[in-house]
Formats: sequence, C-alpha cells, structure tokens
Amino acid sequence: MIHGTIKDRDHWEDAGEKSLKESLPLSQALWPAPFEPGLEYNSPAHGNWNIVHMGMLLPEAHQIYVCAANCNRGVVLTAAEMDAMDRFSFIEVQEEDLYQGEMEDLVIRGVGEILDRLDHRPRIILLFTVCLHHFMGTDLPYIYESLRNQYPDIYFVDCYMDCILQKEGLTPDQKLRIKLYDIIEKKEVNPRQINIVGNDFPLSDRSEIKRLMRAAGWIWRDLTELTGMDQYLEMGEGCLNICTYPLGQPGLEILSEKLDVPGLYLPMAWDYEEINRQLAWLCRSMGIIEDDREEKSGNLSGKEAASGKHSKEDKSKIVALLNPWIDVEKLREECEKSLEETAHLLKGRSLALDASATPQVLGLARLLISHGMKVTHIYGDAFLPEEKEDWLWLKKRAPQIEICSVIHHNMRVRKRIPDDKVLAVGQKAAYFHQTPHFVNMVEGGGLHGYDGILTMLDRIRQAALEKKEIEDTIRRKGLGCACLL
Amino acid sequence: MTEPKDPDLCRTLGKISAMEKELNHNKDNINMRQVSARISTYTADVSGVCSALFELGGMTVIHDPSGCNSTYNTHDEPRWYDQDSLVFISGLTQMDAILGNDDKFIRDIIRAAEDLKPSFIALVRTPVPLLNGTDFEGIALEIEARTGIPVMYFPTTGMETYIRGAGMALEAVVNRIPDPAFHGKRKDSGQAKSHGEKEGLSLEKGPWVNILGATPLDFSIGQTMDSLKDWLDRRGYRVRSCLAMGSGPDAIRTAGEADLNLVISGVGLPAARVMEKRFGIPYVLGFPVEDYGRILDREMSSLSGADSDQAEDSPSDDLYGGELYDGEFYDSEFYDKEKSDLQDSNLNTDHSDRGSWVVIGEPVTSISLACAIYMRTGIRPEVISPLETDPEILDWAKEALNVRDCGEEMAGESKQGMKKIGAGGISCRMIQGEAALEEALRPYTRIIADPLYQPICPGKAEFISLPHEAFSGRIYRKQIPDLVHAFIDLGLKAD
Repeated sequence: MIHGTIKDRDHWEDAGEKSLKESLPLSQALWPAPFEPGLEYNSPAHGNWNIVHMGMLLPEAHQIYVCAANCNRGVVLTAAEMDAMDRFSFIEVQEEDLYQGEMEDLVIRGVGEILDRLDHRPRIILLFTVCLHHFMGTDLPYIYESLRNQYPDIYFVDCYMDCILQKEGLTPDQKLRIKLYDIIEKKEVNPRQINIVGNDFPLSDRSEIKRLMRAAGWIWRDLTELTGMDQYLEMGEGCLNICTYPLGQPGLEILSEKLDVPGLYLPMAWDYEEINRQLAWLCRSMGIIEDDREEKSGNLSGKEAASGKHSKEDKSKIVALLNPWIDVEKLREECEKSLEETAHLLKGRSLALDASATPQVLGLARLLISHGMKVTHIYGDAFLPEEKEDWLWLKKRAPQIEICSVIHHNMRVRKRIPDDKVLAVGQKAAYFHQTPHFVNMVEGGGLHGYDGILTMLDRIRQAALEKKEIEDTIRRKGLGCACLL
Repeated sequence: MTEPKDPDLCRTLGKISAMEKELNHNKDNINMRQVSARISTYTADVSGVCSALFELGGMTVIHDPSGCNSTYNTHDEPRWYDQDSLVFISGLTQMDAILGNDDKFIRDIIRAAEDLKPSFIALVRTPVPLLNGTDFEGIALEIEARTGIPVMYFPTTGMETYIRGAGMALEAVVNRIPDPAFHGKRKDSGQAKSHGEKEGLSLEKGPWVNILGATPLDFSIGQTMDSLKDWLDRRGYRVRSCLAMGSGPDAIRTAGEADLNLVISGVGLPAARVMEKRFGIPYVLGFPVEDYGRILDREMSSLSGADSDQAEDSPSDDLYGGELYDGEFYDSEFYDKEKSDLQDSNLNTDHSDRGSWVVIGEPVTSISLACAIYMRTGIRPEVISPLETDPEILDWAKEALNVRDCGEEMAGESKQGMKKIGAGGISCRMIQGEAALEEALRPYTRIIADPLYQPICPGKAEFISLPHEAFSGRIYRKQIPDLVHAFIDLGLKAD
C-alpha cells in the first residue's frame, strides 16, 4: 500500500454504509481513504517492486532474511525469479525458536554459516528481521554489533520486513528506501553532484531534471544507475539530494540530514505550474538561477526541505528565470499538442487509471479530463496528501468517476468482462477491466516533468493502438527487473 | 554486548537476559538445518491449507498482517488468475495484535461472509497470532454462531511445510463429509475395516476411487491430473472425487461412497486414514509413474476387487515390451544383466558402472518415480525427501516394488527374459537443510530434482530437471512433466 492510513475510525463511521462498498462514485467518496478496511484481497497484478527487488539495486549486496517459511517463500522466490539466488540467503525460524530464547544466537550463527557457504564474500549484507522479532523483543542491536565485530570487512545493514507495523508507521518498503543509503558517509563535497534517492526506476534521460544537470555540468548518482560499490559510496560527495518517488521521501529526509545537504522532494506533477516551481526550486538549489526571494527554500535542508514546500511566486517570473536553461513554454506547447492528439485518437474512449501505475493518479486524471478525455474509473484505496486539490477539482468537475478499491474482498468476485474498449493505465486497472489495451507501468515509471507528461501520452496512444497479453504481462513481479518467467 | 532498551518488556516476553544467554550458550543447540545460502524453500503450511481448500467453495482467511496472500497467489497458486476462490488476509496490525482486538477480525469476516456467502469459513494461523495466543477456537465458535456458516480453524504456524498444512485441510474436509451409511448408499456401518474386507458395494461398472492429495503444489496444472484420471479410467476405475483438484463440493460430499482411496502424495495420507476409520475405505499409496503403474494397479485391484486384466495398456504401460525409448530398445540382454540385481531385495543404490541415482522431492511421487526407473533400467535410485515424511510412507517405500497377492501372476507374464519384478523397494531418507543435503548428494552421479537444487549438486553429477511447484513456484511450470508419462519429458536414458 503506497499511501498513508487513517487511524480514526470515525472517518468511516461518518460515511455510513457507503464506505463498506468496493467502489463508489467520487461524489460520495471520502478523502483520502474512501474504503473502510476489512479482509484484504490481492490481485494477480504483481508488477510493483518489493523489498527484494529494491535490495538488489545495491551493488555487491547480499540479502539475508530471518523469518518463518511462509514469509520466506515470497522473498526467496522473488530472488529466484530474478535469477539472483546467488545474492540471497535465509535463516528459517522454527516454532521452537520462539520459546528457546536463543534467537540472537540463531541469527548470528546462521549468518556465519551462510558466509562460510557462499563462494564469494559480500561487501554488504542486508539482514532482514521480521514481525516476530519485534514481538519477541529480540535484541537486534546485539545481533548487529556482534556481526560487525565478527566480520569487520562487511557492512551489515539492519533491514526490516515487519509488515505488522506498516499501518501504524513506515512500511517495509519505505524503511528499505532509508536503509539503502545507510552506509553512505559524508565525504568531501563535490559542488556539482546531485544524488537521486528513493526511486526504483532511473529518471528518463530526456527529463528536464537530467537535461538541467547535463547543461550545468553537474553529475548525478542514482542507485538505479550505479555500476558498483565505489560509485555508490560516492553518494557521500553529493551537495544536493532529490527524490521524485513518494515512498522515497523518508529516505530523502534522513540522508539529507546525515550529509547535511538540502533535500528536494520533487514528485511527478501533472500540472505545468507545479513542474515549473519544482524546476525553479532545483535550479536555485543548484545555484544556476538567481534566488532573490526572502524565503530561500533552496537553503532548506533535511526534513524541512523534504516536506515539499514551494513558494507561490509569480508564474511568469519563474518561466523567465528558467528560460536560459530550459524553454518551458515550448515544452508546454508540446504537451498541449500531444494532449490534443491523444484526445483525438481516443475519441471518447473510457480510461481506467490505477494508482499503482503513477502515485499521483488524481493529477493525471485531472490533466486528461481537462483536455477532453473520459476518465471513468480510478483504482486506489487511499491517495497522497498533496493530491487533495486535484481530488476537490475532480469531485466538482467529474463526480461520476468510479473510485474502486483494489483490495476490498468484493473485488475478488467483481465481474471482469473482457472489454477492449477501455484503455487502462496500470496493471490492476487492466486486470479488472480485462483490457489488452493498457499502459504497462508501475511506480511512476521514472517519469518526471514535461517529459513525463509527453511520455505518458505516448504510452497511452501506443496502448490504444496495440494489444498486450494481460495475464502474462501483469503476473511478472518487479516490472523492469530480470525475470525468468 | 548491548542490553535491551526496555528490560521490563523483555522480561514480560520471557526473554533471557543477555548475561544468561552468554552463560547458557550452547552452540550445538542451534539447528543449522534452518540455514540456506543458495537454495529455495518449500511452500509452507499456510499456503498448503489455502491450496487444498481452493476449489471447495469456502472462504479462507489468513490472520496475517500482509504478504501471505501475495506469496500464496503468486508462487503457490496457479489457479488464482482464472478461478475466483475466496482467499483473504486479515490485515492484522500491531495494535490489534497487542491489544487482542479480535473484534475487528470477527467483524471483518462476518462482513465479507455476508457479501460473499461462502459454504464454509477457514481460519488460518500465522506466526504472530501463534506468538500472541489468539483464541481461534473461540473466534471460530463466535463466527459460526453469528453467521450460521461452518467455521474450521487450522493451527498452522507458517513454519511447517505444505504437506502438513494441506494434509490437515484435507483431513478436516473428510472429517466433515457425510457418512453414506446414513443415506443407505453403503451397507456397512462405517466402522473401520481392514484392507479388502469391504462388502455390499456394486462393482458392476468398476470400483469407485477417490484421489487423495492432489494439489497444484505437487502436480501443477498441466497434464498430470488428466493423465492420472485417464489412467484410472482405462483400468476400469471410476473417480468418485479428487481431493482437491477438479472435484466440486458435491463430488467431495460423496467421497465416503468410494471403494478405494489412492493416495498420490503425502498430503493425502491423513485424509486416507480418516476415511479408512470412518468408512472402512482402504487406501493405496503411490502414483502411476510410467511402468510403476502396473504395480500400483495390481495393488489397487487387490483391495478393490477390480479385475486389473481389464486394463487397456498404453504403450508406456508396457513393462516388458522391449519398447522403443529415446531411440534405444531395452532388450532381454539388458534385463538378464540386471536380473541378479533385481532379485536382490536390498535397498542400496545400484553402484554399477552406470552410477548411482537419486530423486529429490515429495516422497510419494519420488518413490513412485524411483520404482519406475528401476523397473525400466534396473537401476535402483534412492529418494531423498526434504519434506516431513510420515513413517508409513518410509515403510511403504521399503516394499514399494513388491507385488502383493499377485507375484505368481506377474512372474507368469515374463517377457523377454524378465522373470520377476517383485523385489523389495526404494531407500527413502528424510534429509533437511542445505548443508546436509549437499553432503548427502556428493556420491550420486545422476540427480533428479527441481532446478533450484542444482547449486548444491556435485558438478560431476548429471542433473535431470524435475520442476516441483512447491519448491520453485511458477518459474519452471511450463517444464513440469506429466508424471504419468514422465520419462520422455525427463529425458531419461538407460546409459
């Protein structure tokens, strides 16, 4: 689940019976979580990344999970499907381990045995403990301290697959996006290096962010593009951190505080003015455009900056400031033209959007509807706080849109009548509508800015013209990762 | 050493202090069977329950925070995309677990049951509810009372294998099927009977058979189950029910009317025992892999009263036919050479110049495969079961090649120099843990196992891939052979 949770039950009780349904018109839906939680269904669409996929991004890292067989099965086969079993090991907890009080010894000795059995020496070990350890009060600091003392040549990173905490705090996914940068140490700062953190997909080379960096002679370090451990450790030289994926935001905050550099949260936006504000914020933080504002957000660091504060300054002034580096007016015109072409091609065809494809799904819906396209369904169980303005806009302009849960128990038996007249953005929407016309994308797909809008529209047009095999496409885990299926 | 930050909490949870641990430390107590550096793990008991109940019309609820449902439907359940079986997780949270907020669990289940109207509800335990002692029996009673829907509770731990989970699920199912004696469909009273003592059943159209232990975890969704049913059909058996693939709840309700149970995996054994006790239905262990089907058929017919001579053999059922296999004939010379081995009933692996073989996997199917290999080649493979294996299966393995009640008949069928096949059985060992398995595999020259075992196999050994869904999930599903006709798919040669 990508979004936060509602802790106050009054939220749903006020809504009465409506919140118990699996779908309802936007006009009747509660912000930001329309559906009261109950038994949870899991659809066969598995393109989203899990913590195993993410851990494999870390060069020369080996993952070890300490968990019960049932939990282990999902992670070990994720690695196997990636053909990455040489980077994965486990220690299976058995029932007697719950009562013997020797969990710490089991883990320490188990890791030792794994190291003995591997034919290579990992430089990093991501050691995952689970819900059980949390409940047993396992002495995790003792475990890690012992391992670090015993194997000083290996970085041991404490990682967590403690799903039981995810509705009351950070998810394991968010925690790992913090921990993946745990061993980065501050080094002598390179005044022209940006770190891109928290994402699973590299930003497109055509994105304005990368074009700006190239034009200004900056380099970037991004976990998704690193060639090895040494390059990874060079992230300690960055003078600026940016994050474009919402789940990476806590990691951005912590790494920025640790390195004492500004951290910019620049989520994908489907709104031109917001894109401009983000680009201006980035340029000012890089020091490539003048910052004459009283409140200089570019100087914010850590938690404050990562909260996504953007000044509401004059729009035309931002355009003018950006102009020497990037012609945003021209890009805007390109987007408008592409939107017009897309609307023409779709000719009123129904669109079903899925929050697993792009976290800012409401912004995408708003963009498409405001350009004459017909969004009929939005799939998601909760929405990002920064999307409230789009929610309110849609509620007023398109109240008939059907908001659909993806985990509600009734979704298991919801009629899935093959309908190739619907075009889906995202795997779950494709599954529920059984349409072969879909944009196969997860987690924002590395899209950003004007280039992100143009790329998404290209993909929508392509999906309108071409068919994909639904089951074979969506069942593959970790879209973009190696897959033996 | 770092002391826990909250000693009160640690004491509450019965945690031994760091000092005590240091003093009491006994390295030998740690069981390193639990460590795996390079290979996979088997489907666990939670998924086993879900798999066994999948087609029975109920609603299975895993009391778990997250992940179990995804793991199950991704890696353990090939029917998930096409069949809308009701399997959910509860979405257990930390606060609900700590505060014992079972009301939410109960309320959510009742809410879903009212919407979906399942024929039964199954509650499945996972590690955290195990640890905090959730009162599932009480919860089951309450849900049953409030909904009127039967509720079953499965005390899984998430730490055992699917053999136990699916086994307990099928056992629970057959404990609930009606006794046909009450409906006048059997003359006997349902009291336990020894094998072959049944009476009063009409065999006009051949005996009725239940297939026990069928889940996609062992047999996937390819041709195997269809071939098995075809194999039974050609021998005059009629399938009363298959627990639990391809038979709806209505067929399973009549399972007590069968004449014989065929237990095709370890999963089916607990259910077979229950049905023997409740209805007096005898059971036979084994899967008709290639030539071994002939022995299994005779074993079945001896218990069911069927005439095994009615069998219409397919080419691959021909034990002695000098059949063409992979371009080679197995002729009388070959069998004569092996005759002395065949008559030797010791259980040692064949150590002839053609090497020693081993099959790794689910014990009933692996033993059946080993028997088939022996019958075809004269090489007696060993079997290693990394799964919990019932002693009854180990005992059966020792006799699996003996043909009960029909030895003379078999001998009389001699063709091309083959005088006898009844000769002891197969050595089956239960070995768990990667290190122990790797050590055990060293002597073998030919290893038949799931591809994910390959990293621990000796390099000099020939590796024959036999994908097993319960080990490698869906990765090699397309290569899973039809076990009834396994030899060609496995590329087995006589050397």
